[in-house]
Amino acid sequence: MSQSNAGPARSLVRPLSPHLQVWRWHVTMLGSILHRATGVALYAGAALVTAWLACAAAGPTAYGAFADFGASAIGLLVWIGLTLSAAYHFASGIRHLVWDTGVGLTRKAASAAATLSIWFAVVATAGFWVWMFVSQHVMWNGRILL
Amino acid sequence: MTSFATDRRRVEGSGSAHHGAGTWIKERVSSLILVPLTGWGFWAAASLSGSGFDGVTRWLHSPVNATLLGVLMLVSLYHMQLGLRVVIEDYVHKPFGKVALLLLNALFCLALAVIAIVSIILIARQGGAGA
Repeated sequence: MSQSNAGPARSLVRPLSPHLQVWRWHVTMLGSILHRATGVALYAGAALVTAWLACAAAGPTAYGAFADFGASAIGLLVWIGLTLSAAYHFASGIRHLVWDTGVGLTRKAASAAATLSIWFAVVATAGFWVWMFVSQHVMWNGRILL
Repeated sequence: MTSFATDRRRVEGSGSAHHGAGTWIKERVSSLILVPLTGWGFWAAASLSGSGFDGVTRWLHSPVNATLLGVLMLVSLYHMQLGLRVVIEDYVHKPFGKVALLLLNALFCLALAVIAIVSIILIARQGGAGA
């Protein structure tokens, strides 16, 4: 943790981002790690959505190539992963916004919010994709996804 | 020795970003905007799936859809630039590597934003460059 720009006033070494192995596992910690991990996953997701838009702008041929990827087994796995990441980051983000107002900062409430965020993500993702398959927006071997 | 630094001067820059709360507040404001937009995004994705090239371009001919998608992309990309910036500041401590990654992060998000907006405008106005 070198602070190369530290003057005399800043030479004090302050505790920044304590490392993982210091802590006993608890659900708020899992919630925090997942929030960051899903955020990074959504970074790739945003690139993918931008690629989708660029392909749509480039015309039917490019769009077809993108849709082929999107409808493949790997593509489907990527979409489901992104839905899960977005649903979790969404719920967990609201949890953070609530905390920022000073509400829900007791140990019990914080743990409940973390657990709820994780369950929300799982249930919302499952619901979304079950609906997609049931309403035949997606089929396993038809290329209907995009 | 007596210190003449103000309270603010003493605490400012103590975090891993070495600056104040500006990024933190921008992250919150962008996330507030994203709460309703993300919900709309899920709904749009569900209703768009299966509609193919024609369906997507037709959908983007609606100014409401094009505008909302444009705002969703811009705010998301801004928010994720801020988010990854915090991750880099937390884990990368070598000055050169940190600055290089922060720059790369900002440029990548900016590039995605330009591509997304230009694409949306192209489709909305004429059904894509290939049409």
